[in-house]
Amino acid sequence: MNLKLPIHCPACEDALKVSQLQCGGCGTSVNGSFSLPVFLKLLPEEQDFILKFLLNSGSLKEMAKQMNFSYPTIRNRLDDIIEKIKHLEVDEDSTL
Amino acid sequence: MKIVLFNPFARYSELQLLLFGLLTALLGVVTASLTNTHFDGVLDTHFGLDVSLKTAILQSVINTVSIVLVFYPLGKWINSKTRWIDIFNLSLIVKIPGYLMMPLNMNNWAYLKTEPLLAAVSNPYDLQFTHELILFLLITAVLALLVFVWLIVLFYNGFKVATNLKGTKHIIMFTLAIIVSEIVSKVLLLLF
Repeated sequence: MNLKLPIHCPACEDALKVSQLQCGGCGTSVNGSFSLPVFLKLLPEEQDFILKFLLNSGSLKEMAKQMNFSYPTIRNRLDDIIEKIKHLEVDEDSTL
Repeated sequence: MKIVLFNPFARYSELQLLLFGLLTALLGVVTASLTNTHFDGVLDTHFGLDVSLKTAILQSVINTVSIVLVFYPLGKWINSKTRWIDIFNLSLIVKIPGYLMMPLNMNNWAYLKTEPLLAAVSNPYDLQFTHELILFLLITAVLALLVFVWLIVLFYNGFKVATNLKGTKHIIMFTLAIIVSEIVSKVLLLLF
């Protein structure tokens, strides 16, 4: 079962941080306070879009054909994700 | 079905929209000539007695040019990545709802029905409201309203897809641009 990685607190909607990582091989746990990478802060659909973008070598035209949308629709989606990433990076910089 | 009717710009490629738009524009001018329908403005549809093919073509071209002249610069201002082909396709597709009005003037039916109404403007007491006239006015009014709403929805969705417009400021600019394009089309029609 593929579980969805939660990125916002279900109680207060604030951004979640990683506090523990565990080794699957030897069971070693690492504790701390790690911010999620910007990519993981995106919605699953947005992450999926970026992966498709990479797999299509950045061709929005190809993506439009595959996803059955028009070129400007795909372009707009990409622009929206770019804007969101910029905001996430600014938020991250202000937190640091 | 909803996407096809209200936002084909999100789904179909620019080539598909261009071919479909040109085909409907061609059918539109021929039918306008046959049904004596004037498309004398970006938003306007009027019925006449004699609309030549030349007049219908001229009106269609002027309406297209008016939309592109106004919305392409606005589109570029909102989003520098706006393509002229998307605005051109928009100008062709938004005409389609208006074509639904044309059958009303087969054999000049609508024009002959409305002529007494216009003549009675100077003396409303002369007006005779028959059941047939009331029914005609009701059907025409409802159809015209539906057509207008569909046109505006298509216009907005098409422009939104072409420019990725967001926010109140852009929507206000879009609304003003519709009015400006209507004025431009009227001026061009007067000149030509």
